[in-house]
Amino acid sequence: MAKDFLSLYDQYFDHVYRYTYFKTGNKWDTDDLVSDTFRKAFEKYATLQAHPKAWLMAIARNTVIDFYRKKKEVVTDREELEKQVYDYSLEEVLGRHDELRCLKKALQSLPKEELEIINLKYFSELTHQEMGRILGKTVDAVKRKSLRIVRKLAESVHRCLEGK
Amino acid sequence: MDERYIEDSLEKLKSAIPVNEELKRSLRRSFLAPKARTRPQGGFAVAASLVAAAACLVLFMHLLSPGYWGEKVYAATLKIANQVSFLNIGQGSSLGVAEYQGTLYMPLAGQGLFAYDQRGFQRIYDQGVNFVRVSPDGKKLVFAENGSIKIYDLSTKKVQEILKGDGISLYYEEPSWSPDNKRIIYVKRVIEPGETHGFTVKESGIYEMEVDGNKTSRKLAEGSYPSYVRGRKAIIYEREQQIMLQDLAEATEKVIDAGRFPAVSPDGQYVAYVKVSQQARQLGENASVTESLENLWIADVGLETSRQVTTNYVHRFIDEQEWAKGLQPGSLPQVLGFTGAYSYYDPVWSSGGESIYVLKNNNVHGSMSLMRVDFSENSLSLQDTVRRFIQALVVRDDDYARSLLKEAPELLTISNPRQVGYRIVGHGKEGGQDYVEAEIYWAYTASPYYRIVKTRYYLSPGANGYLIDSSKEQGSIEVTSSDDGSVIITRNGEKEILFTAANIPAAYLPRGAYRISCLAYHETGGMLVFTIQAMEDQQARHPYLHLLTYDVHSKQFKLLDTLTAAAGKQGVGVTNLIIDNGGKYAALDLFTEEGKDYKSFTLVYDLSSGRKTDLRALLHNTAAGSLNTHYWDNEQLVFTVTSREQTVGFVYQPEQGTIASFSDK
Repeated sequence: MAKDFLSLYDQYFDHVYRYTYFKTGNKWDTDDLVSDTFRKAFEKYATLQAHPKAWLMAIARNTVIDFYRKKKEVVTDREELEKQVYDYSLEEVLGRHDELRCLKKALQSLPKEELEIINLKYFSELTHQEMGRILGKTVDAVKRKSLRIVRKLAESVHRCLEGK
Repeated sequence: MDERYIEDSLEKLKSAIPVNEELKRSLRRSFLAPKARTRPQGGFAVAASLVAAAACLVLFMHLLSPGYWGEKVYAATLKIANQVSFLNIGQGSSLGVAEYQGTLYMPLAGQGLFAYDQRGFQRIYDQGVNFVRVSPDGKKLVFAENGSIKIYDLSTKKVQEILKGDGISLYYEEPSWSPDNKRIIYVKRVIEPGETHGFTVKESGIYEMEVDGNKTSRKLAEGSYPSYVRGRKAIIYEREQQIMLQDLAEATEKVIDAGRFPAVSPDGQYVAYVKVSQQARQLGENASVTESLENLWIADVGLETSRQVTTNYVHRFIDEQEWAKGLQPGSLPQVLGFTGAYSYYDPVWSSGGESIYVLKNNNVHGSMSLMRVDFSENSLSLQDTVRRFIQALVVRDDDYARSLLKEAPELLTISNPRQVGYRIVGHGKEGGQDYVEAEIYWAYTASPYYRIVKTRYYLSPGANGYLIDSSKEQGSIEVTSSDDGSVIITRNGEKEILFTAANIPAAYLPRGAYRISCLAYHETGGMLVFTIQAMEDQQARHPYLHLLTYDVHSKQFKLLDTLTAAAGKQGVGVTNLIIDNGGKYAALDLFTEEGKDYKSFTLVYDLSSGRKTDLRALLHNTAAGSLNTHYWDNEQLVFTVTSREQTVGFVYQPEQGTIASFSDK
């Protein structure tokens, strides 16, 4: 078991890390949360049937939400908690790629559920099928949604570069 | 502008999100089959499994009862006045530190020997020292270097080799001085390398030798980590994980206790050592759990009493029940080994005998720090118990924090927001129980967020002083800034806009894009301190900062400073802004370039006069590194210097304009 788990770990650590980092915006929380994610995965590994990456990313996603839940003194629903993720200046995490300044600005203005899709698809490198499993959507719905967001980003970047 | 371009650009952004490779390695190791942890030995060490740490954790206090104790006090009745980590070693090992009257001598693997005190953190010798001891008169150091023993004269800075090993099969190690400064006691190890790998220790003998004169030596015992005992013709050492006392006149040996790394106090009364307690439990037919917990102990050399000093706890990195369930029925018996959250190495007494310095490895985060433990004959007061508890949380000495709690929860400390200060505000009795009320100040790195939480801690007397039974939050104040530039204060859930961007005088606002980047709030003074960060704009103007105060009562803004450049570089950003309890001083962490030129430094502002102090300029003997604030301890600022791989804590006292170290007494 341990050997298989380690190959899962080696294969997906970077994806889990970037996913969590992009969601929380700081290294300290990310370190703690990524450790938690893999510990939970290690404990539950025997229950894994198929789609290991989707399974692992779902654990990561829930771990981040649980973290914000624990910080709350009163019980809050998931929707309310989702508002707390991506709540930081992207500049700090994504660094100063000047040529990408407009893209960062465009990302910053996206609603959080759309950022989540960008994070899962581009930063965590999930397939549409894996994303569908995590988000509870059909593959087609995920594809359509991703394309819409990318087009929206393209428009914003275009406007930004023209200085509008 | 097509979709392809966006997808390519997102790919570039992905690569900009850094992955913590250290965490990746250390966490991976924790999933390998648990093995007994062994510690590398000095001269023939394999790479130490110590991983770089995130941040240094420090705090400062004054001793309650410094100096020698007049009457004999049994180890079991000694009280702990404080425990504080103040120096984070990062990757690599440090073995065998020593202290003399406020200066700490610290060997760092591969980097040399360093001296730490109020003047800074300075390399005094650049060879690979791995164990050092100061002579009782403070004039000389003796150290082990690659199997040889050398003496360093602190006034002439001359080094003399007195025992030469070959660094292959013959090693002289772990030297220690006699109380009269004339002899040293040391270990001679003869190693035989194995045919293919590994080695066998053929001899680990304890010898003594005269330092001056004819340098004759004689063998005293078998073992390691030897020390003389002042006032007795006796030595103490470790053999087969036991602490041994040998009467040299009668040549008799006694076991003091099980343990490792014995260190004898300068007055010869006590011995400090690291002891492991072990427990085993059967979980099911083929599954069992072992728990090994290390702690620092002290005992009377006269064998009367002993006491545990640290409060380590088991680090349960996985759920044992889940683990047992995951095993195949009928498979070979398996053992799940848990160790403590901390491991302790090489304790050593301060020259005054009132403190112990001990190396402490955080097994959860994989970082090694140096901790000071202070002893006293008196128990802590109610207020000091709460003060120490909060300090331990701030510096993340969970092993100390737990010792002050009646029942400790699993998780004590968190990373961000982080505590940046605290204040004891009162005490009294509620329903017959004592309580102490404290405010804790919280901030987020590089974000406009400040929170004041008032908490009541309820205490009752325990065997070694007060213990905290429970705590209750009494209310909180949160100050944040929204995207439109207004600053909002939330008192116990009720929001109020302190001011909007339109209220800030136009002269204080940058022309281009800006945001409020950091803020701190002083409730009793009704004052907000904040920074406005002007962004880099399309004309490629460099980012710069305004530092302002806002008086909540008179609604007046005041511009304290504009920072456009630092350390000769255009462009400044801010990561932290924290203020002292009196609202008189603000400390700012600033940075210039990202990337390889990245450098951070710390300025302290006198808020009434606007006078600023660059803390880097006050550290005379320290190689340039990054400076960062840690927290305000009342009117003193605890800050850290990261130089090479170490993060070293110092204290700035703004009233005096001076720096103090954690080894100052």
